[in-house]
Amino acid sequence: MSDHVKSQVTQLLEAVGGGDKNASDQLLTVVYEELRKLAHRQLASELSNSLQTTALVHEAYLRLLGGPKAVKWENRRYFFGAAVRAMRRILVDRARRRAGQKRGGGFRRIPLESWVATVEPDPADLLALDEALEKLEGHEPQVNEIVMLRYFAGLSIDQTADALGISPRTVDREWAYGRAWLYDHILGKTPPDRGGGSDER
Amino acid sequence: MNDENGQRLKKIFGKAIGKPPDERASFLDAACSGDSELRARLQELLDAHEAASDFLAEPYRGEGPGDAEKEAKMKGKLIGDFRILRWIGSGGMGTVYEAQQISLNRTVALKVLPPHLSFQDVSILKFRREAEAAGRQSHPGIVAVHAVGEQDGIHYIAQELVEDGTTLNDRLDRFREKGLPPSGYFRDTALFVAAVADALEHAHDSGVIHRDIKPSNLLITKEGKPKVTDFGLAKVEDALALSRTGEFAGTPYYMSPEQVQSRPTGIDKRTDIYSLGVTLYEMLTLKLPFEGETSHEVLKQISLVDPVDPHKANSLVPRDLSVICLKAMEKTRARRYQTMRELAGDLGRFLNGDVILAKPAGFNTRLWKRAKRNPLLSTSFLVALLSIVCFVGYELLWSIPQLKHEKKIAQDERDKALAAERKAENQAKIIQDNYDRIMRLSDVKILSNLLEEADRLWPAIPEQIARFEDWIGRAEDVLGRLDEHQRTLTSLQAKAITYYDVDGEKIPDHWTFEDTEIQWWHDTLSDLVSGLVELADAESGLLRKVNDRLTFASTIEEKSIDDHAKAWEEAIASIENREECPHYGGLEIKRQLGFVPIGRDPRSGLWEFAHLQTGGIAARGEDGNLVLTEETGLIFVLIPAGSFDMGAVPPSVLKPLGSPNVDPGSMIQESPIRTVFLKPFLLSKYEMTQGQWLRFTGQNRSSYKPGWREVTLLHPVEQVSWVDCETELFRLNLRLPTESEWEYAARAGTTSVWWTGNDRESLQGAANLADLYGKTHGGPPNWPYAEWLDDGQSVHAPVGTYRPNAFGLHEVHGNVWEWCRDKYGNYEAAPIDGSSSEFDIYKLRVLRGGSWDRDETSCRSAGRKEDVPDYRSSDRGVRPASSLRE
Repeated sequence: MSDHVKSQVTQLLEAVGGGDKNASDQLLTVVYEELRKLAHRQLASELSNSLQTTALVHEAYLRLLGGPKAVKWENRRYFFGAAVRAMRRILVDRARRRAGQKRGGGFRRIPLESWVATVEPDPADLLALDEALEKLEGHEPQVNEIVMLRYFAGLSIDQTADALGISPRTVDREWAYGRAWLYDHILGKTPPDRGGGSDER
Repeated sequence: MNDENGQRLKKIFGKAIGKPPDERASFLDAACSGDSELRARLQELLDAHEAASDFLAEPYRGEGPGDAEKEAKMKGKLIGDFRILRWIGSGGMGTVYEAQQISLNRTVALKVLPPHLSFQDVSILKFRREAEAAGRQSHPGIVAVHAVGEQDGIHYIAQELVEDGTTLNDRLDRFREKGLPPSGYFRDTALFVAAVADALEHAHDSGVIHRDIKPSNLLITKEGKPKVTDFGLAKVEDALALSRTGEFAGTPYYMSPEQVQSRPTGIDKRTDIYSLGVTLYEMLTLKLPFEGETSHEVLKQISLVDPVDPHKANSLVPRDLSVICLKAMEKTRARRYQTMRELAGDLGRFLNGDVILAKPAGFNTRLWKRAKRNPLLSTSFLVALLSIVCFVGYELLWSIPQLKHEKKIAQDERDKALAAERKAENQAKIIQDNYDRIMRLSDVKILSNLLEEADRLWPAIPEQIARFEDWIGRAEDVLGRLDEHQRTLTSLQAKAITYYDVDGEKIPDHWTFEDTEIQWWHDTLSDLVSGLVELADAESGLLRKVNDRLTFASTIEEKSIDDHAKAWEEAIASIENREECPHYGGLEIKRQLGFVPIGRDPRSGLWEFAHLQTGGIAARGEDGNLVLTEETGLIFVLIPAGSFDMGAVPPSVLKPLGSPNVDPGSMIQESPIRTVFLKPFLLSKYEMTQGQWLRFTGQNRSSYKPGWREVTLLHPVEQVSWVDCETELFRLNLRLPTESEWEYAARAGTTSVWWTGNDRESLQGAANLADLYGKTHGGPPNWPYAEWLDDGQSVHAPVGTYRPNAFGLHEVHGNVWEWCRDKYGNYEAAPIDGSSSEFDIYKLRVLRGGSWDRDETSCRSAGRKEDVPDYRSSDRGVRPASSLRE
């Protein structure tokens, strides 16, 4: 990764911090391209059996923002925001290709026995989740952000708190809320258009 | 519902989940104050919350090709020295293949860790030290680790392949399905667990704790013998799960209470004793001692609940085995068996029908334990206990005078005299015995001191002669008592219990004793005797080695200085001569101990010196160039003093490509550019060769060494860590170059991207990289190849193959990464006097110069790479340096 791209990313992050919507889109594009390249490489590598999303996001971070050195926390937050969006897009695209546009299906529960084993969700699940996340974002952008950081970037509670500049307790609470909301939305008896707070009502 | 209501909903939800489930309904009633719609929505979300405990709990990991697809893809692939033959299995810890180790032509099990473990994460990589430590264990009950390495960012462990083996886990599953075998099962179980304990005792003795004993880590060979595997991997699993979910990993069932409470410093070998106890429990009952709906529940039970007595659960389980099992599983470490040997001892006693040492936990201890764990509840129990003790004590007090009264008052005088005489004799014997014992113990200490000191008894230079002589004197002194110790040992061994194998044959050299004290003395003496025999070994003993060091130190002055008096005179005069050697600016040097001047390089004009301790003195051909053989020692170039601009920045309007220290591939950690001032120093003309390393250290761990294709001992040594290099170079009275020395010498006056120029094509003939040749000669397809280059080498090349720079240094770019002395950090705080940076913030060390498995961007003059100090790999080597003796 050349320093040129790195300084471009840093400039974009600064601009996003200044509220520049264009910069935000550009940042997403740069991060998306980088992640896609890394994901492609990882899958091409004979040894990986699935996408290591956490690793990908961290590698993209290292490549785009540089090695072990201090990065302003606001910038880190914007970066992670863009990265999980990009990651989600990549995953959903992949799932969509695999599922042949099929929708529906339920999440499999993960039994205790397979606690450590690799769990590979059904692509259809991801599409349902993606749809639900889009709804959630409309009502609760921060909850949506937390779910994405936890689920797509594999950040811990503390790391998520750090990335968003809020307290771990808040993250813990909103994470529980987000999971309940999504679970209810995907599997519950609640009709899809009756969210945690539809604007029409 | 508007936004304000949304906030309210979230707020009440957050509070409600903090309440116990049975209080939630009333809480909701109060909080919603009649808003039935809100109340209903909250109930839905809370129901979902309860049901969603596992939902999204694991971060999303995408999907990949199936196992069959993977196997087909991997077959025949080369990872380091290993060729994949067959896929064996996959799990959370990565994938296991059957593979062929090419250099040794043997079949191994190759465990490949998931790729994202390849991060430069210090804590993750620490497992290597442990896996390597386990690898040094040579015990029939431990799966041998042949190699731990990394190739292209992929970490692997090559271990002994247990053919047609199974795991205890699979075996137990089968029993659960089909029932226990009818007879002899419990005896077999005791034998099996005793054998595991024996293997773990061996590991514990050398300071290695397994940390993750469980049935799936116990392999069973065709012959039914156990083999322990996966040492050190528990740590990786933790790191892996942490990176994934932020929570700890591992199967919780076999964790010890101290592991559950995760005391960072509080884990010792007794954790393995506990986990082996749980394993024994499961073998006896086919059930786990602690089970629960959630992991949390399991962990809570491990800390607080006593397991059900296996004998009580199933009366077929022998009572003694049950007692042994529960003692191993005691929650307090001090109550467990303290060593694996103790555990194996009790299992042996059970097998022989002897009385075991473990005592069943009595009523009182159980009561006490319960009281300790639950103080409020059992105050009443304590009061009851106290009153029992008082009552019993009262009874005793009354009975004593009565006993006295019953005794005969008159004693026979002769009996008294005889007893006194016997007592005096006994005392004299005890004093003599104690003296002998103290002597033996002090020899144990003397031996361990000698071994420890010998490790630090370096370098072999005249200043150390007195220390060598002192050490040798003490070693010879203690060796003088070897015969005596051997005699005592033999007499002890006469008291050993005789064991017979299944065929009724006596098992030889099986030293077990009834009396634990004799056992202890026997084991101590036996270690002492074998340690002394090893010390005195004429070929490989330390005494011989220290004597060699003494000889070298006593003769080095003569060999390097007196024998080459004329050469030194010439060299000193030439270096001082500004016309003959303008680079050195009139430098006056002393004669350098351990080196011999071998003239100036015909192109660079710089003086070069042979290093005696690493091999023969290199000769020059008719053209003045050096002729290298596998026997040649290191050759050092006297690098002139000077200053230079260190680092690089990307091109900009003010500094376009072509300006000094401008490099499109440069990274943030290569700036700011600083001017660094250096004193003259000695730097090896080539990377250290496998021959040089092997001659001095006695081993060559390199992945690609003689036997692999055309590799010779002239190839650079690899699979050496920073720590290895520091240790061995210190012993050689040499050192690693500092990072600034390295870059100064690599640039040799240039300011371009590579010393060859700014175009990558200029590297042709000057660098060994991952190139077209490598790609077409067995290199992995997914590497970043420099396909524009054809260097004729698939791995590293013999030193001196490629063009030298202006200082006459070869293979500065490519071939193998070269460790530098510095602690890795940014340049802002780094020194500018040529010394090494000592701010150890990241606990990382510096590597320079790229390697045969990278493209041209890695080997830039300013390029930096960092890694953990104890990391070894097939693309990492060393170019030694030395300061001038003043």
